[in-house]
Amino acid sequence: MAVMVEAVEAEHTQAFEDFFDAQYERLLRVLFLATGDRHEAEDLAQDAFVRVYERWSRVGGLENPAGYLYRVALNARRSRLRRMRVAAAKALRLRPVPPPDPEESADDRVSVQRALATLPAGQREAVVLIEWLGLTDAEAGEVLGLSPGAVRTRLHRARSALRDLLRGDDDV
Amino acid sequence: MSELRRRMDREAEQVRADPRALDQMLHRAEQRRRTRRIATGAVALAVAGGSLGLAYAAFRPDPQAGPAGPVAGPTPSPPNVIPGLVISNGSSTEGAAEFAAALLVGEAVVPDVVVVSPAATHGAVTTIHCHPTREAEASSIRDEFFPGAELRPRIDPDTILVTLGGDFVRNNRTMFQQFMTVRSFMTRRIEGSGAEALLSEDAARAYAEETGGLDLYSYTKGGRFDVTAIYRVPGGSSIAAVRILGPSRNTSETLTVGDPEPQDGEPKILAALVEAPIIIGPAFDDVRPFVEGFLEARRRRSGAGTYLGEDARAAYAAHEAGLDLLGYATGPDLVDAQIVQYDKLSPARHRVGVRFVIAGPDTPAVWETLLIGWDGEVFVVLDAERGRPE
Repeated sequence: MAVMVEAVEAEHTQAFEDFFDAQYERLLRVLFLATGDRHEAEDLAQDAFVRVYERWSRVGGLENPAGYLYRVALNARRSRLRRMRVAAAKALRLRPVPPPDPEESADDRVSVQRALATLPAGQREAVVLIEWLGLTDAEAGEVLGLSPGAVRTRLHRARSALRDLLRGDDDV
Repeated sequence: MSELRRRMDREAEQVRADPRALDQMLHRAEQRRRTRRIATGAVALAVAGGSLGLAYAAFRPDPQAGPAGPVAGPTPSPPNVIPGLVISNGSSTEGAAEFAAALLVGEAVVPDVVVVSPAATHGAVTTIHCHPTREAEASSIRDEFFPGAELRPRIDPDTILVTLGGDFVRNNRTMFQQFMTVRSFMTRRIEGSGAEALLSEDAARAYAEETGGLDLYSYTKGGRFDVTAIYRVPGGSSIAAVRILGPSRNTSETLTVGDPEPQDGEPKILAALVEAPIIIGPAFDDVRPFVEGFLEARRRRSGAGTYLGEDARAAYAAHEAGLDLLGYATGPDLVDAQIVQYDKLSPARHRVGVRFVIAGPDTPAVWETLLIGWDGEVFVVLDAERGRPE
């Protein structure tokens, strides 16, 4: 019986490792596009996988464990953003942080990363999940905790803003 | 493919996964587990302090004899955490492995011990199988819990396998009987009848009066349970932690079990206490980072107000029923602030129970109930009350 238990545990571990191999780099890239910071992306991805690993007996049985993974990662990111905003506000003695000037960024050399950085966090997440990761509105909504309509609204706004920033790209 | 997608691809390709990412992640998970174990040990001690009060009340010699004196708590020793312990029942007594696991968890040695099915053959003496690199740990648990056990070699360094022999139950007969009483009591509650027979008068009164939300059958009938930990208390009784996965909600209880009439050899449940419900469900994972951030901001006395909506801000400012944004939520006496209850009221409304554990044997925990709202963009604390959620 102990042998059987060990066999089940080994299968369980293998399933998690397969999931890790399939999803880690993709999640890392999503988080890099969403945060613009490779170190933060790595930290968030690691944290998200730790949480999934701890719950793998349950998450592994979900219909869409990757959706759960992305939701955990993006929620953690939002939580960090909030903490950073608090810290920044304190550091600046509660003066509001000026938003990036879209005019300043709007030149042909602007990287997509800088353009994404000008978007509000919610819009950036929507555009990365749908445009880059290829999720549907409904799937992205599930990850972000929004209705598909709300996701479409964010995406529309994000595209409009990016079109202005990445000018000359009619296809954007 | 759109130009935007192409540009994002180019940008994303700059980032590649480190080949050691899986190892790094597993290392991080292990560190987190250790941190949690230490926190669990601290909370177990705090809970033990409260439960000892109940045990004392159950055993008080004579209410007329005068006011109760202070109760001596157990002398805490640093948790001796041994990862990867597997217990197999090689004795012929049913429940022995589960009892051993609960005993070890109760002593904060192995919060996540694995119990495997009975061994194929039964032995008289307990054996402990360990890799040579883990001999010190194996010797330590042998000396403390399995005296006389034989040490044998094992190839796998990640686990220590304890195969219980008949000696284990013999050496712990009284406590094992108490453990089995708890199991029997819980089995009857799950089945929906007969649990009353295992209650002392005091405990029966507590269940009848639904003290602190106690109920014999409402949240247990048709569910499942685990006796997750058991530990000794002075006077010969034990305290068992029971996790109940009920059909309507999940709860845990702390049960004091002992023998009020030692001559009859039939232990009874002497006292009971409802502990925090167990939190399960992905919705909680959405709210948790926000609440943890709020608690951390309060602990650091920095930025907690930014988490509050108007009503919550007014409630804290008015100190309603002792509510305090910073008072008990920070400072040197705060042992821990834990999220111990979660209810999803609607897709945009969540209720969270938070318990602040304050240092000191006689200091009760402080509870807050937070109503959390989601506006489609961020979470916010809509309202707050002092006290535990109903």
